[in-house]
Amino acid sequence: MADALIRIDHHSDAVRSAAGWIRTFYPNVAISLDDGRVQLTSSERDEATLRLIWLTALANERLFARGAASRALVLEELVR
Amino acid sequence: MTFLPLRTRPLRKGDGALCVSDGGRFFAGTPNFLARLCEEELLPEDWRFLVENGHAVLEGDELGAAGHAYGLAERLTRAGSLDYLILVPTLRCNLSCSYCQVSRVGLLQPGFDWSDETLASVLNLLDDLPAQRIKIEFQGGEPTLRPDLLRAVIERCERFEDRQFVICTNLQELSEEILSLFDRPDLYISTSLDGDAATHGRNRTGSNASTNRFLENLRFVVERYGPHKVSALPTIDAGNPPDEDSLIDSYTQHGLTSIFLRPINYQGFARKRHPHAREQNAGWRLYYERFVRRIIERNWQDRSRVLEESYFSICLRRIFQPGADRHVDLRNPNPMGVDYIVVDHDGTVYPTDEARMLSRSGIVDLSIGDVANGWKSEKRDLLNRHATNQFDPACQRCAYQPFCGRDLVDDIARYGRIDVPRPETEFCRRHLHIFDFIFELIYDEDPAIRYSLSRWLRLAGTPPALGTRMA
Repeated sequence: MADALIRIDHHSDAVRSAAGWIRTFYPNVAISLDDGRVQLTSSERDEATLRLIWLTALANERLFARGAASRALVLEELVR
Repeated sequence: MTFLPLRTRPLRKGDGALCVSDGGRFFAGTPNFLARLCEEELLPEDWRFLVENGHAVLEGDELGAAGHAYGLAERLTRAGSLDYLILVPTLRCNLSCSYCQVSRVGLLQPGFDWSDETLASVLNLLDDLPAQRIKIEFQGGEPTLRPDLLRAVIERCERFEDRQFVICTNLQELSEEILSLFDRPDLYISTSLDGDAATHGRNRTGSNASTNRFLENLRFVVERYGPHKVSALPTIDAGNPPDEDSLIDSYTQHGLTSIFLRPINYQGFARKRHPHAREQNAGWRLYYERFVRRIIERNWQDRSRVLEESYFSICLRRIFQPGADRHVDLRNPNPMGVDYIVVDHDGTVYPTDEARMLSRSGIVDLSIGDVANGWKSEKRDLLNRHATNQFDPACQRCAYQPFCGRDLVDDIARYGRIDVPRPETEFCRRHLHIFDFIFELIYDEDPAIRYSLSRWLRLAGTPPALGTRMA
């Protein structure tokens, strides 16, 4: 069983969303959010991989939020 | 504001993350880069890399924006006019395979062949098609039971500049009439070969005599026409798959090098006789990887021919060569009943062959019309409103979205609905697995792997690397 305990500054929307998507995409990873930290646990993955899962999930949420308007515009122009 | 149209996913080996843009361009980023991306503290060299490689669009950069839009457009299906038809002239068959997807009927059963009216409607349809090219796949039942209907359709297609016909047959009988059709250079033969004789007999023919007749006929057509004209697919019981080398050898002994590793489809007879086929499990996925790796080893050992697992190759080309293949089960959007349709033995039109199978099993009627009266129906429109992965919240966060697709009929077949969260569906799990595996291989430095990947991409040579890594 491997754990990754990651310190985060605060529970932003992106953090909460990332945690939700980890539950969806990685059903064999348990995730919990406490004050100032997020903990991932899995019997099938090592600590480095768990950290990577967290980083990619958080990166995806931040990129999604930042890029949503631009994506919509590009698609709208293509469809037009 | 700079636009970063990226999505990320951990690489399997845990040595970094795959970063993919909306247009499908990708690179491997280090964990430190990921951390900087999360904290929005990218370094100047990070930005330089992203901009120079088309992964970032600077505000005011019209050329960059146009390049990005072009890349995205390349990934989206542009369905043209109807030019691909699956035609089912008869549902009768001279075999009764245990997992028959279409719930075939017996050889002497009346009322399961095209009527004269249906044939006339099909021929009228062909006359009215605006496209200059046509691809027709004859399915069944066993289509060679009605060579007259095949000939009528094929001869009606002489006006098309570019013609391709495929007869999907169990090769039990080869009459002179059938051979005269096979002799056409624009006609290809597709058959099933489930492995060695024992496996094939157990699944399909049910007797040594029938198995031997099939193998003899397969040898005959490969010898007569060459292996390029014949393709074969195995149907695998995922709960009891054959030995990898045994399966590969059963193909190579006939000169066949392309193997589409296909588990029993949860359709037709299989819904009752093979209920475990509803979902594939980790065991199947491990077998699949072992199979592909074994093919890679054998390609390295013997460079005189190139073996491939067909679906792996299709997915690989989806990454590097958008539009190279027209695999209608893996595209986004996936328009139904637009550029390809299925015409059943009774003239009913379906958007896909799997839709036909579902209806035949009495699960749900996904017919969208009939060949005499047309199929621009409300049902078709309803299906098409959902036939994309572009706006699904899970797909919007998935690094593989540009390469993946949407298969409504597969969801309906397995779950009876289309709104199951994507990662809970077999379609999603299957493709997450395949793309994870493909990218693991793309970033593997083993020359044997790079050799096979390059052959499957139909490259003339073997490049030193197939994926970029951020320094």
